[in-house]
Amino acid sequence: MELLIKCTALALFSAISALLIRRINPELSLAISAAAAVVILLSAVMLLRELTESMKELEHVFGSQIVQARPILKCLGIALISKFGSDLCKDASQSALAAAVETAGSLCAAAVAMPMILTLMTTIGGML
Amino acid sequence: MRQLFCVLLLIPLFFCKAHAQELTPSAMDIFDAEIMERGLSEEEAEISGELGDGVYDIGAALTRLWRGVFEKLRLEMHTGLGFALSLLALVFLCAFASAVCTISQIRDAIEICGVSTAAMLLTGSMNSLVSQTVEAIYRLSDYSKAALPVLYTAAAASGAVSSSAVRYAAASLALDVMMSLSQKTVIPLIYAYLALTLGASVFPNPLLEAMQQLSNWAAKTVLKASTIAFTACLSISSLISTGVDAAAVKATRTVISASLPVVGGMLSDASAAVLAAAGVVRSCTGAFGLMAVSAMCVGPIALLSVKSCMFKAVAAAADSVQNARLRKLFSGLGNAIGLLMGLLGCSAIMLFLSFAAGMKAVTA
Amino acid sequence: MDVDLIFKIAAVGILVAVLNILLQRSGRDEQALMTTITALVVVLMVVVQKISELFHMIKALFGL
Repeated sequence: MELLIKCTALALFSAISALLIRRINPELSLAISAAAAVVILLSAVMLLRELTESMKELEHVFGSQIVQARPILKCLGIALISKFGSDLCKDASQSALAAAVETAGSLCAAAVAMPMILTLMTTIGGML
Repeated sequence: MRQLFCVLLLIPLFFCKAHAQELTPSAMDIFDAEIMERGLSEEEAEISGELGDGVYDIGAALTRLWRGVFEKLRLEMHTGLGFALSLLALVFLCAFASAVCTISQIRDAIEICGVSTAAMLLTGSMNSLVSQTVEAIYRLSDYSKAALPVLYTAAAASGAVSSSAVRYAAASLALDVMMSLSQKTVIPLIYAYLALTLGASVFPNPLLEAMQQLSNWAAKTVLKASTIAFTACLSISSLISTGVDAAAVKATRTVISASLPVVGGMLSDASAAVLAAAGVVRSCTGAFGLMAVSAMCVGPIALLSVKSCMFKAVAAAADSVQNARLRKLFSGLGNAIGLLMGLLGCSAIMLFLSFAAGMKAVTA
Repeated sequence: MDVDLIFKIAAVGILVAVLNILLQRSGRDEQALMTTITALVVVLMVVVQKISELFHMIKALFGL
C-alpha cells in the first residue's frame, strides 16, 4: 500500500516537472518521465518476485508438471517490456516506432509459444 | 429397463424357501455356481458377498454396494482435488498474465500457452482413463461369458428349457456384437472428440467446433442405438419362446402322474422339488451376478464421475475469468469423460438385462 | 525506491531550462545548445543504466 502511494506521488511530481520543462527542452522532459517510469516499474516488478517464488513452491506441492507453466511467465515479461518501450515511443510522438516495438514483442511471444503448439499438435496427431 | 424393474420387484421372493431348500446345496454344486465367484477381485467379492447354499442376502449386498460407492468416491476425491487445484492455479495464472498485458496479440499468445500447458498436463490422465474404461468393459465381458451359462443352465433346469436356450443364444450373440461395436466405434469417436476439443480450443474455428459436436452426437447415438438394439433383440427372443415352457412342464407332470398309478404322484412331486431347487439356484445366481456387475462398475464410475465434476468446476472457474479457450478445453474434456461413463453404463445395462432375462424365465 | 534520482534529474532539468533561457536572452545560443546537450547526455546515461537494471530484473524474474 505504501509502495502504491509512493509511486503515485512520484508519477505526479515527474509529470508536472516534465510539463514544466517541455516548452523549453522537450528531450529532457521525456528523459524525466522515462526515468520516473523506470523507477516505478522496478519497485512494482520486485513484488512479482513473491509470485515467482510461490510458483516454485507449487512445483513441490503439485509435482513437477507445473514447470510447464514457465512460458506463460515469459510471455508476461515480454508483454511488460514491449508495453513499456512502445509507450515511451508514443510519448515522444513516434507512433511508428511504438508499433514496431509492439510487433516485435508479439513475435517474441509467438516464438515462446511455438514449441508448446508443436507439442500439442504432436499430441493431437497421436490421438487421431 | 422394464425387465430390470420386474426383477427388482421380485426380490422379496428370493427369500422364500420351500422343501426345495434341502436340494439346493447339491443343485449349486451341479451347476458349478462357484464359477460366478471366481474372476472377481477382493473388493468386488467383498461387496457381492458369498453365494451361499441357496440363500443370497441381497439387502446386505446392496448396503455393502452403497458403502463401497461412497468409499471409492471419497478416495477419488482426495486424489482428484490436488489435480484440480493445480489446474485452477494454471487458470488464475493465465488470467493474471492476460490482465497485466494490454497488447492483444501477446494476450492471445499467453492464452495459447495456457491451453498447451493444460493439454500437456492432461493427456496422460485422459489416456489412462480411456484405457481403464476399456479394461473394465473387457472384465465385464469376460465375467458375462463365465456367469451367463451358469444362470441360463439353472434357468433351463428349473423348467424353462427352450426359452432359456433361445434367450441365452440371443443374449450372448447380441452382447458380443454390441460390446465390440461400441468399443470399436465409440472409443475412436471419443479420441476424435478429444483431438477436436484440443484443436478448437487452441484455434477457435467454427468448422472445428462443428466437427467436435458431430463426433459427440455420433458417439451418443451409437451408444443409444446399440442399447436399444440389444433390448429389442432380447425382447423378441423372449416373445418367441414365452408360454411354451410353462405348458410343457405342466403337461409333463400331468403325464407322469397319470401314467404311473402310485409312483407317478410321488415322482411328479419329486420333480417339482427338483425344479424349485433349480429355480432357487437361478434366482441366487442371477442376483449375485447383478451385484457382481454393479461391484465391478463401482470403481471406474466413481473415478469418472469425480474427474468429470472436477473438469466442470475448473471450466466454470475459467469462465469466471473470461478465458474462453480454457473454458472450451475443460468443458470438452468433461464431456468426453461423460461419453466414457455412457459407454461403461451401456455395457453394464446390457449385462443387467441379460441377467434379468435369465431370472425372468417363466416356470410352472 | 530511487526517489532521489528523480528529484536529481528534475532539478537538473529545471536548472538547465533556466540556464538555457538566460543564455538565449543574453545572445549566447551556442552555449545554450551545448549546455542542453551535455545535460541531456548525462541524464540519458543515468536513465539508460536504470532501464538496463529494469530489463535485467525482468529477465531474471521471468526466466527470459
